[in-house]
Amino acid sequence: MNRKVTGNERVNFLNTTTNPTRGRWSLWLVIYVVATALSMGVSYLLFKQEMAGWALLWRGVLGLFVLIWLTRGVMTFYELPWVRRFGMVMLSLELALIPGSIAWITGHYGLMTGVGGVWLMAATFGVGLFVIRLLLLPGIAVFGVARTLIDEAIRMKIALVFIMGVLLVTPMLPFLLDAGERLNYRMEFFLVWSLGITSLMLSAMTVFLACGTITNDLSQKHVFMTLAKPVGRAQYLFGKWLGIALLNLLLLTVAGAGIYTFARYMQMQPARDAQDRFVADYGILVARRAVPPLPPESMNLNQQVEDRIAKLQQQDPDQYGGDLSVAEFNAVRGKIVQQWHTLGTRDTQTFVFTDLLPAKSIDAPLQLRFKPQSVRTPPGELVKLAFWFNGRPWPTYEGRHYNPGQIVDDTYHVFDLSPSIISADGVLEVRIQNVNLDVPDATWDSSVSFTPGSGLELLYRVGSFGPNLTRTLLITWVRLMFLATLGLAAGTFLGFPVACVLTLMVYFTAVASGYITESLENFVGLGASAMPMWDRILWFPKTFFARLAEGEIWSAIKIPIRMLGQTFVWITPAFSSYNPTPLVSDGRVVPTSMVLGAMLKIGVVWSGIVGVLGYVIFRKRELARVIV
Amino acid sequence: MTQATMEMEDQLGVQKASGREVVLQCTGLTKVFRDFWLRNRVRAVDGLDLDVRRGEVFGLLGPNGSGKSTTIKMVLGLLHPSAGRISVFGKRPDDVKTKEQIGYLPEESHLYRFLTARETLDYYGRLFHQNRVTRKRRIDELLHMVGLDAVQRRPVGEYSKGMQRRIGIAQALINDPQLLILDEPTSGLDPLGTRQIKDLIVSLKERGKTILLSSHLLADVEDVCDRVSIMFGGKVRRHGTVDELLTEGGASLIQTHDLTQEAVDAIEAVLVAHGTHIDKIDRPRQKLEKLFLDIVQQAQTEGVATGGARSGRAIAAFLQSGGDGTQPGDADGKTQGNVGDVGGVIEGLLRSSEETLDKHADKRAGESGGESGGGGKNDAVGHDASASAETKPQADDVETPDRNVIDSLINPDKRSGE
Repeated sequence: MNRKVTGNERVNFLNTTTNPTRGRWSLWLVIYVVATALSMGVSYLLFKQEMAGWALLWRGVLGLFVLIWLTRGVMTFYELPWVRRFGMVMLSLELALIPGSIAWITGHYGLMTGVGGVWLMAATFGVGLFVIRLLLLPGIAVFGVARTLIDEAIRMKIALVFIMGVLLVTPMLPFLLDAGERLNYRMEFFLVWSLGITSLMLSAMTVFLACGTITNDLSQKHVFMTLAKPVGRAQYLFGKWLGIALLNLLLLTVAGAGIYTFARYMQMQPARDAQDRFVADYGILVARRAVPPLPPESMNLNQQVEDRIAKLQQQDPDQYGGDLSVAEFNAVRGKIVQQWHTLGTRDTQTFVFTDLLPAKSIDAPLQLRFKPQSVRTPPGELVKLAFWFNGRPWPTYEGRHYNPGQIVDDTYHVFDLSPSIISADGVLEVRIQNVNLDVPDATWDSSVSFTPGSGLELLYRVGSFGPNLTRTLLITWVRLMFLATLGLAAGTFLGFPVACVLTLMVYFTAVASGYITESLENFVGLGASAMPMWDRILWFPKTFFARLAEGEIWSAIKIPIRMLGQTFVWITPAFSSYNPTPLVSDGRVVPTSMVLGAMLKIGVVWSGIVGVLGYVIFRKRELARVIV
Repeated sequence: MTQATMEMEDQLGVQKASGREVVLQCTGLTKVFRDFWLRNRVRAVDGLDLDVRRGEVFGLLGPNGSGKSTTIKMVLGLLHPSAGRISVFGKRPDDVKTKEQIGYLPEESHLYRFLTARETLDYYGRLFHQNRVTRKRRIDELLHMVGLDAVQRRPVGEYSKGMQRRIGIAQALINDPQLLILDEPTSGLDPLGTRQIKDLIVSLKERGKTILLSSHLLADVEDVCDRVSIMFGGKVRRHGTVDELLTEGGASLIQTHDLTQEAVDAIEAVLVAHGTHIDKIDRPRQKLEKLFLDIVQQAQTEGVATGGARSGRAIAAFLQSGGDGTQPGDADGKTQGNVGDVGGVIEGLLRSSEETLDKHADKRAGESGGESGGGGKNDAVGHDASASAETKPQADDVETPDRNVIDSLINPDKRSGE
């Protein structure tokens, strides 16, 4: 209900201690606009007159005055909604403009771009936040809880620190990298680190926010007020989850837009040489599919596997008698495949890449990526290989097979090929000959092998960087949502510190699940890699008691340690199986199967189980403690 | 017994209750808190039987730790009873739908410190599925009512305890509840706020709302409650209407204007003739509450600024319709003016402000039982003769202008003709 301001209620300008809205905001605004125009306009004119020093001084002094004036005005007229919004936007802009314009005057254009990027991302975040608030405007209880959680995240410092981190890292990272480094390395480094840090920051924010919001509501008894209203406990938990989900979605969108923009910006920077430019343009900001080779039909790989198994059964009927398990069959097959990928001295082997019609139809080069590993060559030495693509020697020089010379051992190499080299039926036969004995003075046997899978593969473009990055961010979001569910569930029955420790423990286990499994295997080997599941389970108690009986105490104690570790890894979703960052930073397509797998296994199954558990605990929980 | 059967019985219980409908019923309600080893640690509530009827103000009275708050938390579904049954509007307390009709003010205002007053009320409005327009209107009215409209953009964390209490009261009313549960509502409030809460309770009761009031402040309960249960050790020790519990036999009170010694002697003679005598003649003092209210009124008339809460004003318009759609002060359902217009209500109050001031002063004198009067004009005479029922005000007899006297007292802007 508005009241007229009477004589004795009028207060002096900027001296409105009782009701700040009563001051003369118009005067404040006029002075602000004039000072800003003077600050920027005069410094621009001075700069154009090649008086950079004076321009810097003018901009610095008046810019500081504008900043103070603006801050004072926002504080004074905070009660006026438009001043609050306008002031916050201009304050952030001013904070960016002062260092930005100083960087521009002093010629630090990289820093200027970085500062501009930070402001732009922060502004985008602000706009996104406004949109989310609008979306949550309808009178729905879940929306109310979600919106309050977002307010909590923004206004309580715990989450804001991580949000600021996300908004700062991406724009500043390109300018922190060594400008003398190859462009493609810098781009790859930028993608790996910006995605990694964003994911880490948001994970930490999610854990602290999810655990903190529930435990704080319980300890501060906010939950009494909320759950005394027509809000079910499931709705309350879902509202919290929705708030975190929307906040993460917004932050990932802003971070993704920043990463995309700055990756493109980096792509426009000068490259060291033509090869550097080629990789930057065709090897990183793309989505390429990797195709493994098939053996030629003449090789009859399956027949070779059967022959090998028959031979093993004959030689060692105790070990290989009867039907082989899948693991044993795969082990035998793996050895045959490895042999096929190994070239003895003067040997030639053919590798067939099929279904390449999509690669032929696009106007982009293919890449043959390989890493030769010689058996006895000293590290860093050279190996010598000759290549034929669909029968044509490569590379050629004046119509003849040009001796490829030496290739550094144990290092990845990439051959860029024209799509025209693929046959009309979409096949590319790659023949490789190990010509190592031609190396003068060679005294060693230098067989060369390629690791099946990543050691020899053909890459061709199937999409662009944008959708690939989107898929990456989607998987990251699914992982964050699992963390949110876990944090909320932990908060329903644990205190804040313990809930955080539990959630972080699961997070780190999930991220490093592959490494931990390998470490546990090294800590205590199971003795047989292809052991069926039940045998593996029974192996633990049997071995434990056997070692105790033998008096090997420490060796026995390691068994339950491994069992516990293995169990913890088993009940934790394997984030490492759904890690798209190495793919996107290497210009490889993030497969849709990985996105769907992450959504189904992490987003639906794991999050669902944890969420239901959390709800059941919360439903049974008494919210009040003894107060008598 | 299945849950459906229990609910059906509860429904029947509501229907068949004699007289007024039973809104809240507890039967054999027991709450035992256990420790980690599941050993019984505290029996907070022990076999409590309670029924609260529609339209009454029911007081739960008891010292700290008597089980009042625990009972309320069980009624709200925040705690699970160890034994016994609770029926709220004929349903189980954990039924989410039931809570649409309940307003709750806990013993402390557990508000989000980072939200402003407006955002706080907006949050609770959303929990009641109110649309944006309704929320905005109600929030404006409630903020005005509790006197926090000038500081509505400040985070609640910066509020004093009394201001937080006012927001707590506003949130409890945002859904225009049929059952209002107030746990120590006047805790942390200044006398002005306390008076307003008591007036608000009586106003809401007049409009057909049911109120469950828990307090250990005896004066609060005595002033506004129809029926009272006095608890101790988790059990109800005494139960009944305020009059039943408080009426003293064997003494009478006569209040009159200033008496001369001759008049006193004459009265004494009459009483002696009737076989009794005067025990005490006293000259009442002004109550501190009234003195305080006068000082605040004077300060506001002079336009003294304050950074805290302003005095609360007229009851929010949306709260003025009765539970059955009737309007304030209109038991027959007839509408007296546009009650949705807060300004109209205030104007109505202003017209009778002088009259209500006098009435209020008289009423307080009556309530004080011989210790207060009309500014020293009256004497109170204690007498052991027959009772004079007119001198003891009854809760049901309170007139609407009298209840709303606080509105006119604390609205200096209107009083000064702005």
